Amino acid sequence: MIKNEFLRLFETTLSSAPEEQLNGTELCSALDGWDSMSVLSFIAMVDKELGIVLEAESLYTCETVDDLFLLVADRPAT
Amino acid sequence: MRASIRAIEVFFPDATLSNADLAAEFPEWSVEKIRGKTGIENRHISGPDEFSSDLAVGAVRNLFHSFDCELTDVEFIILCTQTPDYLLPTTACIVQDRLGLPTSVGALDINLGCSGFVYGLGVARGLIESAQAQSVLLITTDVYTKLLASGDRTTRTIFGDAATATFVHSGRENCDVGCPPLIGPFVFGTDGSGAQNLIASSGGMRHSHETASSNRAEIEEVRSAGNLYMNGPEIFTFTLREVPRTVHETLQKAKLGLDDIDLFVFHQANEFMLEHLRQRLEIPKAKFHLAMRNCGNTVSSSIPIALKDAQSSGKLQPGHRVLIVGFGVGYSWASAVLHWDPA
Repeated sequence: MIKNEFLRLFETTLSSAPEEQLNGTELCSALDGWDSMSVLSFIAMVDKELGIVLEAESLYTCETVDDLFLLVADRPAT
Repeated sequence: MRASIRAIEVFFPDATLSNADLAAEFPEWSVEKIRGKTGIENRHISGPDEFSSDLAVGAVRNLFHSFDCELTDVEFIILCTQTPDYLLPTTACIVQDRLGLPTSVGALDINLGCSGFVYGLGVARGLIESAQAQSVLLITTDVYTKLLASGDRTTRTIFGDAATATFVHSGRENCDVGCPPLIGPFVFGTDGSGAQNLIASSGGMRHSHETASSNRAEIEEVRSAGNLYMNGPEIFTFTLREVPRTVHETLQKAKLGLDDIDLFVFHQANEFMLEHLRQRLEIPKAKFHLAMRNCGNTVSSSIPIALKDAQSSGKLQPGHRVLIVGFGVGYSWASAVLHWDPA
């Protein structure tokens, strides 16, 4: 999945839409729409779009949106 | 002989907690957002003097009211709860006494959550088809809301209290060994490595009086060790790993295809998770029953509540094949095919 596609899909998982399109450098903790519900939406999106079931623990080390992208950037579909 | 489910009844506490109530406490989450993500609008909340045995008695009385059976028809009680009245004695014993059931009944508690009804059916079937009992009263009952921290918006949004009573009886007495089961086959699963992801860590013998908070940043300040802690992402990834595989394994064991199942009733965890599983398994929406809008996640009661709801609405008919899957706390999971043959 290319980064731009990931960013647009990621934006749909947020509980509230960002004011501007994301570029990946944003801190997740600073995003208004990143909460416990959006984390589940993100896991579901990755499963649906890429057939990948993320290890939940891998999310805890992600600080930026780019970090989340790197979780899936090179992963083959399951 | 073959065991079959003859009747199911439900009991809810009177008090409720609506999305509007929650939105007033947690303004950052709107009524629409809660409904949209969870599929839940209301939850029933047990009163300060209302405990699992009270809800259980309510469900059984409803059952005796609506189904033609006598107290003396009950030979065994299986009561599934994770919020017993006491560490000891067994809550099933208390319920036996309160209902005035004969002292000749067997009674035991099962400590399981979301998988508990399916496990309970497995045990009930075993008791009946091994001729140890002709009838089993399978009760599910929990007051999980008493475990929730008032500031924990995630768990308070999801969980509700309820009890159900299911009468399981021997049917088809003349059935020989070759008769297909009415309850089963079953697939069971356990993964205790997930124990810490859905836990109320004090109140048992390991940490009987601990009050220190111990988990993730957002809610450390509002919970004690006696409160329920739920790691939503871990639970979700667990369901994605195990539930689809378990469904396929159960169908294979039953020598059935997805199309041979008339109704799918999953543990009613939350609508978002269930919709994702439905799509993943390619189950048609019309065959996938949801019944949590007005009660939330009622733990082991969620599957029998949904079965009762489907039966009442006409969606579940005699002769239908139903696939039920319970999954969650433990981690524990179980699946079974039911051949619906009520009284």
